[in-house]
Amino acid sequence: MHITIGADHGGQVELSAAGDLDLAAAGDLESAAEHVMLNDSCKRLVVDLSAVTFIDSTGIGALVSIRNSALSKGIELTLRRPSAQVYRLIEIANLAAIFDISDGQISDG
Amino acid sequence: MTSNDPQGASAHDASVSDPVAQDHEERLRRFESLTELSVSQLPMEELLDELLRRLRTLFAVDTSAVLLLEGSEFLVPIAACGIEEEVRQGVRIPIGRGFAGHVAAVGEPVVLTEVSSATVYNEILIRKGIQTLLGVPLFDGETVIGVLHIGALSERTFDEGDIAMLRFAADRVAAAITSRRADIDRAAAAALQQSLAPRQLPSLPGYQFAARYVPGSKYGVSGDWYDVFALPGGEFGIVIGDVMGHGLRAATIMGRIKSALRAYALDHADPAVVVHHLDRKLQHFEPGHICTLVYAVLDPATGLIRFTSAGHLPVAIVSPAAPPRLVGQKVGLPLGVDLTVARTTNLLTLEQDGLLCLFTDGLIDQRRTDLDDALAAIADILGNVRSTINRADSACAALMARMVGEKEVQDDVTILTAAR
Repeated sequence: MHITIGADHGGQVELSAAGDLDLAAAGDLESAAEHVMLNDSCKRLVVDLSAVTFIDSTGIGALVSIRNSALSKGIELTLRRPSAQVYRLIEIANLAAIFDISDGQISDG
Repeated sequence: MTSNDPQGASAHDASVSDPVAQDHEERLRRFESLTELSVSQLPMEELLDELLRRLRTLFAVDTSAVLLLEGSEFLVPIAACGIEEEVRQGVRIPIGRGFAGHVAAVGEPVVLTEVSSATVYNEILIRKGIQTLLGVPLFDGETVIGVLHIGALSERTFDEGDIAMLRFAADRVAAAITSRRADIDRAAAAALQQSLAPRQLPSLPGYQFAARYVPGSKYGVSGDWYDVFALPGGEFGIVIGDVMGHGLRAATIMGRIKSALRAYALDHADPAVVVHHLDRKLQHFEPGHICTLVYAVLDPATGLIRFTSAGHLPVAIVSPAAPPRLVGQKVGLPLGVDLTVARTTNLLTLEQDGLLCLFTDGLIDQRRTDLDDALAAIADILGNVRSTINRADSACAALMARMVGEKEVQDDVTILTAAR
C-alpha cells in the first residue's frame, strides 16, 4: 500500500491510499491519518480511496478507527471515491451511514 | 560460564605487529561472536545475558543493560550485567527522562560523560559510581522498542567505532527480541484461540451443531470465534464473531468479548440488548477495537430464532420448501463504533430439515472473488447439502471443500452450522 499525505489547504488535508488496504497496510493508514490529525490546523481529513484495489475487514476497521479518532478531535472525515468493491464492504458492515462518502470528482479540492 | 571472552586471551599473542590492525582484527572477531550468538537457539533470557556479558568484555566496560519499552511511557530493564539489581528491583524509567529515557526519546546514540542525578534518572547507576555511559536505541523497523547501554566506572571516551559497534550489537539484540516476541505472540495467540474454542458443541435433541475453525496462514490466528451455549430457560445462544486485527491482541479482546457476551446473555433475553451492553463494555474498557458478530437465540421447541447482527456478513438459512436465503436485513453497526445507534432484533425460523449457517469473511477469498458472487455460491452450496447422518457437519465440510478447497487460507476461516 502506498500512502500520500497532501498539503494543508486551509485546514483540509488529503490522504491518498493506493493498493491493498489489508492487514499489512491498515496500521500504516491509521498512523498516517493520526499523524495528519495531530496537527492542530487540521479541520477536515479527506481519505481518497479511489486507488484502493482491495479492502478487507481489517481495512474497514482502520477506517472506523480513523473515523472515531477524527470524531474525538472534532475533525470532519470524508472518504472519497471508494471503488464498488470497497463501497460494498463498507455497506455490508452497515457503515455507509456513519461515513461521509463523496464521489468527489469536482467538488472537493 | 564465566564472563571472559574465549578469544580475548589469544589476541595478545597474535602475530599481527601493528597494534591498530590487531585491535581491528580483535574487534572483528568479537563482532563475529555477537553474530553467531544471536542466531543461536538459546532461550531469550540466557541469550540476552550472554550477549551483555560479551559486550562488557568487547568494550572493556563495567556494566551493560537492555531496557524495553513497556506501553508507550516507560522503559523497563529486562537484562543487565554489572547492574543486575536494576532488573531485580523492577526499575521503570519514563521516556524522555534520564539517560535511557533520552536515548529512547531521540532515537539516536547518546554518550554521557557526567553521570549525576541531573542527567540520570536511575539512582542505581549513580550509586554504582558509573562515570561514562553509551546508549543506543533498539529498533523494530523505524519504531524504538528499547535501549541498549554500556557504562564504565572510569572516565573513558567512546569513539565513532564504539558507537557503530554498539549499534551493530543493538540490531542483533532487537532482531532477537522481535523474532522471539513474534514467536511468543503467535504461540500465545494460538494457545488462547485453542483454549477458547468450545471443546464440544452442546447436544440438543432434534438439532445438530457443527463448526470449523482454520487459522489464517498469513498472519496466524486472528480474532474469530464461535460459540453455542445453553441458556437458563431452555433456549440456546449461537454466536459467530470477528475481532479485527490479528495475533495475541485480537485473540485477547476476542476472549473478553466472548465471555462478556455469555454473561450479558444470562441477564437479557433480547439479543439486541445483549449486544448493546457488550458494545458499551468494549468501548469503555477496550476503546479502539472493532468487532463484527451475529448473536442468535434459538428456541428449540419452535425453531424460532431471534438474532442481531453487528455489521457482520449475512446469515444463511435453508428451508426445505424454499431456496436458500442470505439474511442480512437490519444489520447494526459493528461493536466499537457508535453506541447511540439503536440495534434491532430480527426473527427467523429454522424449520424441520432446515439449516442455519454463520460464517466469517475468511471463507470468502475477496481478492479473487466478488463478495456478492461468493455469497451466492455459499447459498448454493448450502442448498445442495444432502441429507446425511450429520447434516450440520456435512454443510461445514461442503463449504470448506468448495470455498477453500486446496487454497491456503490467508485469513481465519470460521463456520458454525445448526441443522434441525
